[in-house]
Amino acid sequence: MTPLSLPIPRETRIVIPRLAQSLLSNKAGVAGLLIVAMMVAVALAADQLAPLDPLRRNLSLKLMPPAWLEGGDLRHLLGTDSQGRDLFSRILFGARTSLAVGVAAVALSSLIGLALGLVAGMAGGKVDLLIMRLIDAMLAIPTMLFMLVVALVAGSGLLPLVVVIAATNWVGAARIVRADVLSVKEMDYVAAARALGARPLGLLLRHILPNTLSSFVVVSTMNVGTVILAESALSFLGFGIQPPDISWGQMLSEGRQYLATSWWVATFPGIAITLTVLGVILLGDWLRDHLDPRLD
Amino acid sequence: MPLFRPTYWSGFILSAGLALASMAGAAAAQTLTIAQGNDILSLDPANHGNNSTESALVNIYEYLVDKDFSQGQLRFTPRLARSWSTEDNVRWTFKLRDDVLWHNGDRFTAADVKFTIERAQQDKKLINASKFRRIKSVEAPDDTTVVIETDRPDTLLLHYFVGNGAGILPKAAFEKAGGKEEFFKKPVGTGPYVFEQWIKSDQVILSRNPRWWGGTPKWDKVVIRSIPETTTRVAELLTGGVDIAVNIPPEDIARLNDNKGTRAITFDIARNIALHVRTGKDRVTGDPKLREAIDLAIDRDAIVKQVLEGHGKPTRGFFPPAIPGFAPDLNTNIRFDPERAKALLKEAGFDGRKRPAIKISTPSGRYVKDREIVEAVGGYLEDVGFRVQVEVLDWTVYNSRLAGDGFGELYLWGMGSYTDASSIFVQDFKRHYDWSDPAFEDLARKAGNAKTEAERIALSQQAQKIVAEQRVRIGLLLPQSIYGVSDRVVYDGRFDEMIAAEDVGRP
Amino acid sequence: MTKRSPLRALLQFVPVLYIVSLVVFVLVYLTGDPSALLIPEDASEADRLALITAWGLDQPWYTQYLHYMANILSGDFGVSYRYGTDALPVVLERIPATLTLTAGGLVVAILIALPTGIFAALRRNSLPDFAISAVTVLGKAMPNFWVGIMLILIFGVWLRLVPVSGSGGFAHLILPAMTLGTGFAAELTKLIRSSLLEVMGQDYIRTARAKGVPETLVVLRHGLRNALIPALTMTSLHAIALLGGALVTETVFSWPGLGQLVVQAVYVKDMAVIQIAVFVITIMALTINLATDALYRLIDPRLRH
Repeated sequence: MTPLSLPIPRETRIVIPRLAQSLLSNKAGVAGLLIVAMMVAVALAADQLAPLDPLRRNLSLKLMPPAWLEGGDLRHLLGTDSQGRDLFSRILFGARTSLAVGVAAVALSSLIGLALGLVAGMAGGKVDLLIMRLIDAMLAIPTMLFMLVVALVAGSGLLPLVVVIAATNWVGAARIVRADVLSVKEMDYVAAARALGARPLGLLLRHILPNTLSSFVVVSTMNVGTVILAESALSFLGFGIQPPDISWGQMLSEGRQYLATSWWVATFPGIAITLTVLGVILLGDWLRDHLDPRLD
Repeated sequence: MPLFRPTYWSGFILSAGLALASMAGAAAAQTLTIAQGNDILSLDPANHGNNSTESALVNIYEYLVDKDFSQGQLRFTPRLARSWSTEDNVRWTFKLRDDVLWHNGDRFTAADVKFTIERAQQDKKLINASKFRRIKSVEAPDDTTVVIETDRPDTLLLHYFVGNGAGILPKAAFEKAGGKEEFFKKPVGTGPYVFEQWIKSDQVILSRNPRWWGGTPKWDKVVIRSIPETTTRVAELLTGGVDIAVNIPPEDIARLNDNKGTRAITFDIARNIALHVRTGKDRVTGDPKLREAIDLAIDRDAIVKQVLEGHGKPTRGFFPPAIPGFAPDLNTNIRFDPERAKALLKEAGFDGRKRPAIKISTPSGRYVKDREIVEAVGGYLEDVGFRVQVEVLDWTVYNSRLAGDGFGELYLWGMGSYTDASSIFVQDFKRHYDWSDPAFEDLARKAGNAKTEAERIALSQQAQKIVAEQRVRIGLLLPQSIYGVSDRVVYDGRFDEMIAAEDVGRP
Repeated sequence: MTKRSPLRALLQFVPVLYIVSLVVFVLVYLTGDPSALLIPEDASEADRLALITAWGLDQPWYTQYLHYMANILSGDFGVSYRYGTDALPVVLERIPATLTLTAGGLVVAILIALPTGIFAALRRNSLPDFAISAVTVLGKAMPNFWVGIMLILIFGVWLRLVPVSGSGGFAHLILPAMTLGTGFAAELTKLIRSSLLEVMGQDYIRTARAKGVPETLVVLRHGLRNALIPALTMTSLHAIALLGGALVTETVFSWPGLGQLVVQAVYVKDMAVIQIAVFVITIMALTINLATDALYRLIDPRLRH
């Protein structure tokens, strides 16, 4: 949601050993990495971990509290929802959709941003101006409004949702990549390579791309958190993931009317979202700190 | 263009003051605050198609006649018209009250009624432009007499004078304002409450009409708030912010009753929940056997009990008993037979490995437990061998999808606010369901020309049976409405879901 | 400082506004025919066609667009389908509520971030420091509507401290402003903390200490000044994002701002209202940008040239 305000360093490539060392000295970063790793593992192994079919509904078991409360049942560890479906199993499977949307939307928006940023930076002139105006226009339209309109066109569901979020989220990546390309272009060795007759494409692949990668990684990581939150906001507004697909945003949005009477229906998916976004933010923060020479 | 016109701020600040005043407890005894689920769409009675908008407008404008369901059957009672008569159901004579004043002090006359009807007929941009389409001419021979002629015999004429678009507007004030835009900035009606202010997406504020012909209205002030989020609406009621809150989920009933100072009320309403079925040959639901299987697979009793917590009745039909012309057999004789449904699927060539795919669309939060009902239906259909996809849409999107016929095989529809079962003929079955049936069309034609009430009722009952037997619509249940009510007020709810402030008493 | 540069900025916004209007128009057009929402379902086909003609919806999209642009240039911003009245006042009357809520959200964020950021920096790497970062990041990681509903349940229903919803007086502003403010507070706290930390190692701190001035005071003075410019940048970006982006919070709290208006307008394809709302938001964003620039110059004289 927030366009990056501070310039991201156009620094070196990622050096793995240094990265690991830095990570170990940063507890929050470790925590973030652990959370994200756990969520990814849960998403991948949801089939094996889930004790029950997340779609299996049983109206006579509806709104059953978590196992440790009165009226709970060990078979439904976190209780059941308004259709009597097992919340624990739904959360495990929800991880899959929520993360998939997060990763896919970010990958797509990063690709769009990368492509437009590179083109703008490399081509310069009128093309650059046009892309910059487009970016200005995108920044001027409120993000949620734009998402809503695109969602009306694209419809609801998994794939449209990814497209909708990607269509609104590429701006940050595009600006950073463009800025990086422009500054790298002026560096001595690139100028030298060009003087020696290197072809633009080769130049791009060999010199410019690796240099923009670090800031690009930071932006993309942070974006995953934004996307997961955006998905829940879209669910709230009625444009989220459709059943039988399960996502945390959808569960939270559907469960919100039971918050006062059956708190667990919305609270557990809410915790799942918060924890995951927290993990992503911590990880992203650490990546940024690490890749930012000013804070070294 | 004055971007920061002081009036905008003053409106905002004024509302701040009013809201504070309404918080002030004792003073609030004279103010009635009602929380609806959405903002009113318009102050123009002829330019909205929305129940909650009408519910607010009935306090400002009045109908010629009132619809009264309090005896369990529809009766028309006098309002602005003292009496009415017809001999042939073509030419109608209404005698009007002579003691009614508009909010601006003008006298209400027959010319206003004539104006209201003709304005709706002439302004094609009005949503209810077709409301009075059967009326051929309106005459006002004197100030208290209106003579109306329809194109053919029409036993439903009185029904046109209630509901959306039926509020009577003042000819002189409207024309003096120089157009609808100006007039509806400060509209004038004859009702017990006078329009004060509309802060869009927030509240409508009305004040007592001291010159109302029906006596002194009960409340000094009526505030109708728009609170779309259910949790927020319930919270406002619990904390005394509002006196009546509509559309309370069944789960919250106990909470409202346990809370000191609030209670939940439940009552029957003019609404039914049904699955509407697209029967085109390009869909699996084009096969009557599969449609029957859908009908038989659904355990309506369990849905009413579990999802609505008992606040409704199962039905295969489309109208509650208070509506003239409802078909009684469709509310009994309800079969739940999953084994037969499975057999039907097999007969239709689906052996279990190949499963017929069905998409069911539902709005979320428009009708009580709409999404949950559809999810439960989806589960029952899965149980007998369908492959089900449930599509949940925001109401406004849903509505536009409906109008554009953008749904899959089944969609949930909660028809309501009707006053007669002949409304079964209103929808374009060909366009919405890709369905036509000569017998049904014949009935529709005859109903439009019915000479007597009894004839019309018989025709619409036969039509309901055809629709139910062919499963073009599969009736599910007749829901009750659930409101939260503060102990500061006395209110039992109304069958047509209109909240007239005059119906709300003080203990 | 000459007067040319704000004017120039304004001129640069013309093409941006133009692209925005075209993009919004095309997207809304693609969502389909609004006529479906404008008539009751029992209307006849003839009534439907009459309505479509009356609104000019039978024209091809480029004709509609040209017509629309021509009207705008002559000062006519069109009629709202939903309200049946001029669209411009429909949008303008939402501005006070939107500005109030935006300001409220920013104030809450600053009120949280300033003390906690300072505290965290002075007690860096202590348990409280860690707790503060954890809580502020948590505020950012929670979905907005969830925070809003929880605040209603806790402060409205349970503790009965504040009104639950609506746009009444100051008290009504508290919960929605808190909902909007918590996310931003996290970022601001972090910024203030790191700005202070950066100053702590500097030479002049040592000089000041040698002169006998209390260290905390020096750190605060220089650190906060150091934080001012980036904090301003961040705040103005957030203010812009909140102008039209608070729609979820506005819905939860029934706050009658631009966000709710725009959501409703998008749902019913109310083209004129969407367009004007986007224009108005864009213009307000521009104003905030210009004001921010002016503030930069005020704070740091070096930027005046």
